[in-house]
Amino acid sequence: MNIDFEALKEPTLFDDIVDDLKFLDKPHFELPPNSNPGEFLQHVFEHPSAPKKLEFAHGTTTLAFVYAGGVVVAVDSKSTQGPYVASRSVKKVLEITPTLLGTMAGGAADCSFWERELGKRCRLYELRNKELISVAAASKILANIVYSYKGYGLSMGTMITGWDKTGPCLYYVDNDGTRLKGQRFSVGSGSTYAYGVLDSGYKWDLNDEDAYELGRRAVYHATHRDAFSGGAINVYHVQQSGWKKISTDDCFKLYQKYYDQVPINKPAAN
Amino acid sequence: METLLAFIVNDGVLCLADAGITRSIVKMKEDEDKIMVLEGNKLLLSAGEPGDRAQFCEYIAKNLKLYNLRHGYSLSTPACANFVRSELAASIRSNPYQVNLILAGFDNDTGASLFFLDYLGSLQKLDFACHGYASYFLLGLLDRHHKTTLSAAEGVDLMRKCVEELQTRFLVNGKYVLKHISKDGVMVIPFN
Repeated sequence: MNIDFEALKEPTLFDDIVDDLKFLDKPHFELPPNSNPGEFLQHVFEHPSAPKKLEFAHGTTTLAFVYAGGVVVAVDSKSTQGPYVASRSVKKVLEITPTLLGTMAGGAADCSFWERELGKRCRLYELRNKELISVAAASKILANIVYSYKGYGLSMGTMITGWDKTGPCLYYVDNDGTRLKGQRFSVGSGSTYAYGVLDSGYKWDLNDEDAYELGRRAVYHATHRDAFSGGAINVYHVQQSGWKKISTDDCFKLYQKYYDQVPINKPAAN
Repeated sequence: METLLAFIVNDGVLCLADAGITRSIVKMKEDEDKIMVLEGNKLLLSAGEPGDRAQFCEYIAKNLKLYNLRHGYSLSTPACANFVRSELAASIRSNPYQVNLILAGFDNDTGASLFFLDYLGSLQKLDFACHGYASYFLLGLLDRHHKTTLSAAEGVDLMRKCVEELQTRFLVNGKYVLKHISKDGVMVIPFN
């Protein structure tokens, strides 16, 4: 008599791939073609000759604030892997749609991938509903995505800004699913330094030029104190008509520009 | 370091929650409303893991709404408390929601009631309830001063006494939100 051992067989590579194909119509992460990808990856990365994990843009200063004229977004542009400066020219303001901006802090890959996905979903919303998505709804889409991946190691701290029917809007969304509406936010390793300048210089009825300068100055002071922030400072302005890029300034040029101004970190004259 | 506090007064329940959201050493927000109004006659106070808190409370609110649409009437406060408890208990062994809750409500037939729930799925019907480190300061104070016969105005005074104690002895301090629920519905009481 023949016993049927079919049920005892391990799934083959083919079975796994067929299984994976089912998810192709949804946004998903590529997994190794193996029945237990988690264990497999652990083995691979334990090997002495294994490639080191890449994690860009961990140290960062980003900030955004709402005022009478809209929203100002200011960010640095340095990307580091541990002590190594991987890049000094990273675009940390992500242009999600012509009316929505996002910022990048934490893992650069996570931020750019999921904010690109958010851009797609916002565009689809616009095509389906014949109107622009609100900032509240857009930020909630992102928050729901990251919440569904909670505990999987996503790393992102982002601000979503834009101008919708309710006026200028600012939301903070991070990898543990927090979503907060607010007037002033700063994210990243340099955020505390930036908050110091931002909170003390902030007024609701700032004129546009002063608002840009406040954002720029806050990030500048953060780059001065935080070793993991630096490069150039990008400033964006969100207006009713959409966002506009205002400036890119090298931090060192700003240091020279501000050097003779008081107060600044100039050594006291003897 | 979040604070939730609620106690019964003669015409309803007074609920207090801190209004701060902190991430590591940074205060991200100090005007967050952690007291959600359910169906116009219940208050759900929540504290805990940031993402879970919003997600769980919204899930509860929408399910209560769904129940209302299906049956044409709303869940009573005790029924709602048991529903919330069962959801927490169902998730505890698989994908726990790290949220601690207080549910207060006013039902026309049975009057005011107050329930204490924690993330492990325990449920207690109490006259006063408190979550967080603040409970170490406030439970004693309430054991001494709280009576269910207090009027709403006396209740607000007791709330102020509680916050005063927190301001003198508790390490963290910030702003609070105070709400009162009675047969007339929910009222936000200016507090800070």
